[in-house]
Amino acid sequence: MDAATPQLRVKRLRAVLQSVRPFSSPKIELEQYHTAADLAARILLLAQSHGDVAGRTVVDLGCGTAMLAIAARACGAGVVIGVDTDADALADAASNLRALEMEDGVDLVHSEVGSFCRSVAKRPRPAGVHTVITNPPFGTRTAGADVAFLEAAAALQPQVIYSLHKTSTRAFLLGRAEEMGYHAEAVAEMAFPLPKAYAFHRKSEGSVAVDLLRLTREPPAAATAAAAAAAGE
Amino acid sequence: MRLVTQNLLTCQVKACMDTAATPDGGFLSYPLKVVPDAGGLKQVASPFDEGVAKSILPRLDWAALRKTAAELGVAALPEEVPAGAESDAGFLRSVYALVFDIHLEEGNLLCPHCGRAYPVRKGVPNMLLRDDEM
Ligand SMILES: [Zn+2]
Repeated sequence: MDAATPQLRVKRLRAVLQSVRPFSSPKIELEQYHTAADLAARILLLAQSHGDVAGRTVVDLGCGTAMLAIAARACGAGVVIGVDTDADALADAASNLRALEMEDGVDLVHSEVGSFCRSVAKRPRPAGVHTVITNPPFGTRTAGADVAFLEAAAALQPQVIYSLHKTSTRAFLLGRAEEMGYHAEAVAEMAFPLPKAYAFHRKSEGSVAVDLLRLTREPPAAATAAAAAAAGE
Repeated sequence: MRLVTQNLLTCQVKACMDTAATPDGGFLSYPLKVVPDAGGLKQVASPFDEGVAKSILPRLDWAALRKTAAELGVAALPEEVPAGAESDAGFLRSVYALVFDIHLEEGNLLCPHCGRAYPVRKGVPNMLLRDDEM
């Protein structure tokens, strides 16, 4: 990126993301809720601070309007691919990319997410993707949809996965992540604003407490030790 | 969709995936063949980024990229990534242009194993399966 101060970069990123338009025809059964611009900015800046974005190959699973894919590209990701099963969402994503003149820097793939990940992983040399960033369904309409996304992401065998989940499912998902061969931790807690249609409670509108989970293929301590050893050579 | 993305995609048809692996480590349903409609390829020069070129090189399936480039007639790549490629600016530039600058806008991705065609419209490949293909 450029030499602007960190504060200015954050401001610019937010301005870009605030221009991303929400779903034109959101589908409740797919739990298509728009990721708020400031949440997307926080997620990507956090991923960026771990070195997981700039120059990396980043896949946004269930990309919807492409909010996270756009944020990744704006943070300097080298390759960005958004995958979604819904044609209407992809049309929204394409129009958002065009409006930001990013259509040549982000590829969209119309595919069921699980099938995409498992087929890509079947290739003889599967290590194509460094970072997966996803805001999956929270699993409130279809039980297990959240875990299915995490399993799909893990099947792709990236170095790192960032995924948003209801805080109430934290202990369960951290356990499932270990079973998938990833070390997981909740690296941020956020309030996710939900429109009326998705309200979990009787309140007409509100927000749900979510965790940003960061899954890595080895425990952070071991990775840090390995990096320190490599640097000391 | 650019060749950097096509380099990841394989056929999703279950019966095809189940029979694609060969004893010698090959995978018959990969890479998907790029079959553009007339005028369906778009060339857009993107600014060269050496850092991205270096990071992408080890992540590409080179044999698949070589095959695709030959099928499209856009580049004749060496059989292996040459030694010292990471510090060869000319080589990095040519690979960068190959994987980032050629966009399949309209056409098909064709499975070389089962023949399934995945249509590409407005640059987006449609990989959705019918029920009897899952
Ligand atoms: Zn096939």
